[in-house]
Order: sequence, then C-alpha cells, then structure tokens
Amino acid sequence: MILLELKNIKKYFPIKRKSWGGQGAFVKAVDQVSLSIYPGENVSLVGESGCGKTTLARIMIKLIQQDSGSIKLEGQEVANLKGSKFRKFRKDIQMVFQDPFNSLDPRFTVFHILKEAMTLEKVRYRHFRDQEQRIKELLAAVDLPVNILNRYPHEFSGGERQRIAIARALVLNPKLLILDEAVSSLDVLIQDQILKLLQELQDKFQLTYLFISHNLKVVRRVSHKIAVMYKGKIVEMAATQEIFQNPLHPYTKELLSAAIEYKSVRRSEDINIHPNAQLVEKEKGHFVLDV
Amino acid sequence: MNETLLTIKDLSVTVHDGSEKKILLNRICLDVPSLSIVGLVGGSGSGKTTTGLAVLKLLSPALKIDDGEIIFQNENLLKIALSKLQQIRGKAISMIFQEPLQAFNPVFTIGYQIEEVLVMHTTLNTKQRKEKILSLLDKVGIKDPKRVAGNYPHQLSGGMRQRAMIAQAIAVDPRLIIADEPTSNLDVTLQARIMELFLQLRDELKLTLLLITHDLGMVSHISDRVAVMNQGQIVEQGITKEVIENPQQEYTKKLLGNIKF
Repeated sequence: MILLELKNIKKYFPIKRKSWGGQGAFVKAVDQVSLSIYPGENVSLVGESGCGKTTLARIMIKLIQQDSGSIKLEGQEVANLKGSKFRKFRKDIQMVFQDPFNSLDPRFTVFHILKEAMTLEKVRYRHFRDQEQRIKELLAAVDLPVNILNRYPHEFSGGERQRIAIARALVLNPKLLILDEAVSSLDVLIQDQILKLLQELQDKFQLTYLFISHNLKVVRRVSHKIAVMYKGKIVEMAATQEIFQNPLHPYTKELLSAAIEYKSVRRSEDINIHPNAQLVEKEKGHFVLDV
Repeated sequence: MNETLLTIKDLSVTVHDGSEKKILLNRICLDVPSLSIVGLVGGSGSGKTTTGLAVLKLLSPALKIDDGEIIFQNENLLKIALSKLQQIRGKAISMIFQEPLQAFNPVFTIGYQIEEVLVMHTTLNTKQRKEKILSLLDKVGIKDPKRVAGNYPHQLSGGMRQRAMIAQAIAVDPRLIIADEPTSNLDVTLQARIMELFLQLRDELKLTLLLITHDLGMVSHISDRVAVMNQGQIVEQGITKEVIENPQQEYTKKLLGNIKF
C-alpha cells in the first residue's frame, strides 16, 4: 500500500492583486506535482532555494492548503479530515526543521519540549511516570544522556539540538518523518553522525523518511528514490543510483556537477519548462519531464 | 613556488574563564603563498574562525594572543601600531563573513556600505566613487548594479548578498582576502557559482585567498594548499592534491570519508 500519495498538487501564491477584469500575477510554488511514497522507501526532494520543496512539504502536513490536487495517507483522502481523524493524521506525519536554533522554544527545558509533543495523546501519557518513561526511551534512541532533561536549548550544540528535534518528532510514533534540510546547518562530521542515527532509527521504529535538501550528496546515502524539483515542478524522478549514474534532465546535471565537482554549468539561458509538460517514463522507473 | 604573503608562526590563543585557562589555538603555523588559495578546514569549534580573526586582530577582548607572530609583507601584525593596522585592515587584507545579512548593516544601502570602504582608504571624489561602486558590483556578476547599490541588504537574495559582500571586500584591491565560510548558507548551485567567481577574481585581481570552511570537498576542488584543523591545532597541511590522495591523520580521513563517492 502507498503510504502517502500526492496527485496533481498545485499551489500558487498571488504576488499582485487582481485589478478589475485583469489577471493577477502568481508565483507557481508547486505546479501539478504527483509523488508516491511507499512504506520504508526513503524519498528525497532536491532542488535549489525557492523551487517549492518546502511549500510541498508544508502542504503534505497540512500547514497550508493546496489550491487543487489530492493527498492520500494510506489510501484515505486527507483534504477534509476533521476532529479526531485529523489529529490521527497529524500524529502519523511529523517534521524536523532546518534550523534547530529556531525550532526549539528557548524558554522550554528539554523535558518540556518533549512533553509538549505528547499533547495529541493526552490520555495515554496522562501520568508523569508514563511521560518520563517515554522521554527516557527516546533520549536513549537518539544517543543523548538522560541528565539533560532540565536543560535549555541554548546549552546544546547544533548537533545535539537536532537530536532533540528528532526525538520530539518521534514521540508519537509517526509513520512518515519529513526532514526539511535537517542537516544542512551542521558541519560535515555532525552531518555524518545524524545521518547514521537516522539510519538506525529507521530500523528501530519502522519509519519512512522524506528528505528535503538542496544537496544531492547529503541525501544520497539515505534515500532510495530522488525527485528533483525545479520551478515548482518535479523534473526528474528515479532510484538514487540511477539519478547519479544517468541524469537526464539538464537541471539535474547542473545540480550534480555543483554538488560533486563544485562547478557551475554555464546555462546560456534559464531552462525553460513548458507549462503543460508531463513526466514521462524514459526508462523503467526513471521519469523525466518532457520538454 | 611564489613568495609567502602571510606567515603565521606558533600562534597561541587562550581564553580565561574564571580561574580556568582554555587553549583555543595551540601553536599554529601556517604559510600562505602569494596568489594561491589556501583552505583552512575543520569541524565546528576547531579554531578556524579564531585563526582568521586573529590575523586582523579582531578577536573579542576575552581572548588573548599569548604567543606567536603573524607576518604579513615582512611586518608583524601583532606588534605594529593600531593606526598602521587600520591601514591594513580592509585595504591590504579584507574579510568576507559567513552570514552577509549579519555582516552588513541593515539600515544602510549596499552602495553606501561599499562607499565607506572607499572613503576610508582612497582619495576618490564622490563621482569617481559612484562609478567605482557600479564597476565593482558589475565585476562580481551582479546584473543590475544601479538597483543593487540602492538596495538594503534584506532586499537581496542570499547569493546576491554574498556577491555584494565580495564586491566590498575587493573594493580597494586587497592582497589577501580571508573568506570565512563564504558559501555555507547558500544552496549548491550558488556555491559553485561563488567559487568560480573567486577563481576568476584571483586571476584578474592577483588575489590571495585564505578560505575557511568545513567542506573539505569544496577545498579539494579549488585550493592549492590545505590545512586541516582539529581542536585548536593544525593536524595536517600540505599541497591539496597530496593531502586528499594520501591523508596521514585519522581526522583528515574522517573528513574525507564524507566527500568520497
């Protein structure tokens, strides 16, 4: 069964107000994007800043509403979920943000940060004893000592903070974890540690990851499938190895040479994308946007 | 090999935390030959930035330079008078910081802030300065210099801001640029473009570059020499190709493990 299925998601942001009878101007943040995530199959969404990766992720967890298109979680449409069903949906998908310096409340202790995440399961974690036990379990899972519970975020290094953020995302046993540039603010050695940790956690908690990054190199180790986004559209999608060995779209090539050789491919002009272009299966499992 | 432009000899920096004394830099030795690009690599907290700041004596007052020499064009920067140092800062040696949004003053326009450098170090008149600013912005690949000069830092995108920062750094033809993580906050395609700009400027303006970064991959592609730092010490240094192909230290190998495919 497909874990999360996106179909023709569209989100335009208005940048100019419509005048009488005139057309308003829009930023096509996400333009007709379809993507399926299977359980246990890690997907990466890569692309330059401003290509719509983060907007797409926010739509997935319903932080913003898409203009059109459908999102299905385990076969169930989530557009009109309300009440307890919506809360169940929120539990199943969790997110880790880019900057651990901003995503943790500076006035909360670690205990408080992790406890707050339990709000959606108030009944299960109504006793202090249960809360404490779960929190200790999670700290052990992300390799942090238990004696930090009364400390504040500013007392930790970037890598430790990101571990706390990951622990927080795991509190409610999500099925899908979205990592939005979760390692890009860390130095290479810490990146390495966090990626290793994520691999461990995947086996332990049966997680599926969606990585969002601008750096193909970083996501390579942990993802099974890569989708390359450019100007709001997915321009290429294939298995990780395939993308690296046989990139087909000009933008993917540019991204690869920038990430690996630190060379920028001179573009005579911006890569044009036809508004009605469709993803076409060029080889088995290798989709490219038809130009 | 070219003559040496900057030599750091046995530089030690400590910080006094109450009665405790912590060593931040432990007898650092580093040579930067003229017209080369030298990469200074290491994890966070290894002392890379401290080294860069020490060269210009920009360390916070709590940090003390205990020992050592910093020789730039046959003068020891640690011994010369402040007035003379002011002549070197920004003119002969300039610095590019990691986060241009914080390095620029938010309440002045880009043009104004570049002009400040020109007022300080040149005798150009107002009109010449205006022209110089536009030509500098043009040189770093900004397509619309007139507009950018009148913009405030927050109005520019990350890549543009970093370019403007570079324009400011090369304003008065420095000999040496210290670039502290110049591309860490940019996405990979922009990183590649900024690195190309550095290479091009080095050839055009006869620059020497000390590149501080945690990305050994980047350094291995553009630098001539590399020094690897860990916990306040330089653990390994040499010609980039040799260090990359045949690392001697565990730490270097660990850093390298991250860039190999």
